Amino acid sequence: MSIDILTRYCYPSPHVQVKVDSDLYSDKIIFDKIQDGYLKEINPFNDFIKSIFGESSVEKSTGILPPGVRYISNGYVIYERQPEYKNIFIVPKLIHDIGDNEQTYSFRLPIPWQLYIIQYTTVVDDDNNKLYYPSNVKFHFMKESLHSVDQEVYLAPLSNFYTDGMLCRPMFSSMEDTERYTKDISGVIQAAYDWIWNCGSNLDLTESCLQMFTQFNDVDIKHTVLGTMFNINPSRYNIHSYYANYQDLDCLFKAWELVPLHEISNKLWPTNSKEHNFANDRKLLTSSQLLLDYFDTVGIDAVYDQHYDDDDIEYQCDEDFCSCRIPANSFDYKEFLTKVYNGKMYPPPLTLKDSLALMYEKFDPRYSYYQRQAYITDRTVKNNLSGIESKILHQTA
Amino acid sequence: MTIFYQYNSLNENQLINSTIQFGAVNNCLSVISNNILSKEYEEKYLPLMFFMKFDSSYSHSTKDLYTVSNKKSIPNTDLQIYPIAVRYIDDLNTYYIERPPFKKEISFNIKKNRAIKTSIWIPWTLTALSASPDYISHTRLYFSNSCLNNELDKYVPAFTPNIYQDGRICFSNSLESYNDLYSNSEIRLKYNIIFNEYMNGGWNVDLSPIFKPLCNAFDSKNKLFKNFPILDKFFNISSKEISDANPDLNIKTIDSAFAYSDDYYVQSRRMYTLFFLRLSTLSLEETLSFYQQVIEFLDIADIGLETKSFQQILLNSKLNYQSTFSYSQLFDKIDTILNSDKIDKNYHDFSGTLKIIIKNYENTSSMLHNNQPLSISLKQLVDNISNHGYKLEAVVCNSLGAEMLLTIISNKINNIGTSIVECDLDNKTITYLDENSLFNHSLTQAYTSYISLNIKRSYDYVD
Repeated sequence: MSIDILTRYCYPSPHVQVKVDSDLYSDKIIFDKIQDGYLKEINPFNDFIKSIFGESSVEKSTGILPPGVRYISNGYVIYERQPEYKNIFIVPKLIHDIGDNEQTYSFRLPIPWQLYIIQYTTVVDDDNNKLYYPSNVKFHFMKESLHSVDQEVYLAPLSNFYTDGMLCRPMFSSMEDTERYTKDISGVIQAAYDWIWNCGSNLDLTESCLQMFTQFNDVDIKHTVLGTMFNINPSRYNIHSYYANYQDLDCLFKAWELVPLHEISNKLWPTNSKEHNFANDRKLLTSSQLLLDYFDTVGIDAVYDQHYDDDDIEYQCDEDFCSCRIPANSFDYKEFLTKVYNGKMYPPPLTLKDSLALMYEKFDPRYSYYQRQAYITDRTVKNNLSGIESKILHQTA
Repeated sequence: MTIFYQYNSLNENQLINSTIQFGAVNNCLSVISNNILSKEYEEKYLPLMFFMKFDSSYSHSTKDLYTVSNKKSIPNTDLQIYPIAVRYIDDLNTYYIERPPFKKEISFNIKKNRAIKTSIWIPWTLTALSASPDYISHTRLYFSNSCLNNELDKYVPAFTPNIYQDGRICFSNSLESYNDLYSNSEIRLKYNIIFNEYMNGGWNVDLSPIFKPLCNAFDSKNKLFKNFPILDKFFNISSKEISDANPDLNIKTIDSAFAYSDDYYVQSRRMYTLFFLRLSTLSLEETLSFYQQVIEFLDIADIGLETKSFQQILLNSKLNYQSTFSYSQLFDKIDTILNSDKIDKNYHDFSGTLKIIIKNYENTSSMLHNNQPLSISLKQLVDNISNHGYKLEAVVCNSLGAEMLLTIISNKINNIGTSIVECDLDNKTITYLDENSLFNHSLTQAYTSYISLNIKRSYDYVD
């Protein structure tokens, strides 16, 4: 059966004509059959034309936004805040060790320019309203207000952040914690802000803080919030470290608290990894052509361990992250990193564009899926169309 | 399954019927309306200006819709960074952009060759700006004493010159030179263009001062002023106080601003002069208090000037909404998308139909003042259509006595671009003009003519 649906949206009410095979049903007959008001909210053409023009950054009104919203579109909000004092709260334990009435420590830190990259999702309720919820939040420090997508962003050395800037999402005890925000862009921003600043933190993820102790040399560290006040034992941490103990965090935050707000924008901050942590960054490096190029440069033969299965049969492993991919030959790993990172042991700062692209690639199902084929992402359009189809089919059956 | 979308599309009979209905409800735009358009227009008689509006209908497969729509929804890193304080974006793509107070140098001629320079604080401003280049002239500017906190916050139209009562900015012709730049730029640049063009583009006193009712209320010794000490003080600022704040001005010059003139322009100029000179004596804090009391006063005094809550401003914006795209954009966009996206060859028979309604433009007289390219010659129209590879297929309909016009256009369709016509619906005469004449004048009767041209084009895709 072939069905053509002709919809026309003329003020004050839409008109619908349906052609089933060769029989044309007039809009009056169809419209009378459909419950009054059902089609009023459906406007697939508008969705379509908006998608053609691509200028419409929001599908529904945003609500009153805080100053500093710098971009909204396609499921992402970019929001910045000016330097300000913020309180952070930390329970010095891992999540599974935290009991009732644990002592929480707080610090009042001067925070430089902040950049929030918020990914949100939409849910369509029974009344066909789009409800917005935050799904992931990335957080960076900046030296100045955002003026370009090529602007450099930095790692925020706070607990509960992965080193790529992604926040480890908080756990909520009730639905109220997620439902209390307005279901629009302004609510998404408020929720994301609360996730970062008002949900507390613990010692689950401290690698970001650790970077304050490992990424700077003796000269540069004087230009960080650590200044000259604390002398971290250099042997305690190295580039492979991923966990900082609470005593060192306490040192970091206490030193940080002493920096005046007006000087905070001049401080140096660590750089982000591309992966969730630096170890994964390095795994990627060692399985990349960069290592082979380095071997060529320094005259090392690249011999890899071979993989064996249960029957002890040797075979070529094709898993990028498998330990057998690490070269068997010994080589100066630090020198290799220095070569790759232009004389430093850590990668250069990401730009906003880099950070956003990484978020797309890792967390946006549309992005990776679209590499293979076009697929339907606009749920409203899809739902509207299938809604029309099913209703019409039902009504005309 | 194929879904055929027909948007604002009317067949001949429907259009005629709608047009008749349209005539009965006084210049309503319902013929090209969509489901949110409900603005009522005042009955007025304007010169006939043929203005192109799009009436588009599209035929395409559901999969095409998905494909194009989805591709657009895929995130990319080519962002358009907003200005810092975008405080609201509505679903019609209007941006509400806030700016904190700033000091502005003002230079204005009190007489020929005699300029006065002073500086005043501009309070918090809220600019309602559409991303669509078609609606530059809908840009509105409001003043407030504070930043936006909730939807009930009150605003007044900007008290600076060249602002209409509803807050719309009356732009000078110079804005036209930014058309191309505006069309292709991000919202941050658009805002800068608009705001700077207005603030620095030169003002005049064509429009009556927004604050005139306030001055009149004070002149008529409105008792309410007693409850508003800052307003009372403001309107009692003496020449001496102004002179103290502006040492370069002598008392005589200042006194001339206090004089009354029967000449509208002279009097308007003096009102602005006096207003700015008084404002120049106020500090930032006093300026914000002044606007706060203006808003409070207007809320209780019925003097012909009203405040608007942010909620009302949002609503007003929606009522002004007509369309988010123009015909020139649509041609280009469709071409670009269909060429670049290379829609699957299965859909190579995809065809689009665009229907253009040429109608007289009756929005408000401001559009006529601006000399904006609202009118278009028939030659320009057909040139544009043919340049984009479309073919004129048929003239669909007309109403209220423009049949002759249609007949001639119909005849001309097969011979595109050689001549154009002018019609006089009062006298029911149509005149051929040379190629360069615009098809935009000579009638005093409002509206009445709709010409709908069906234009078809088949798209061929190459993989």
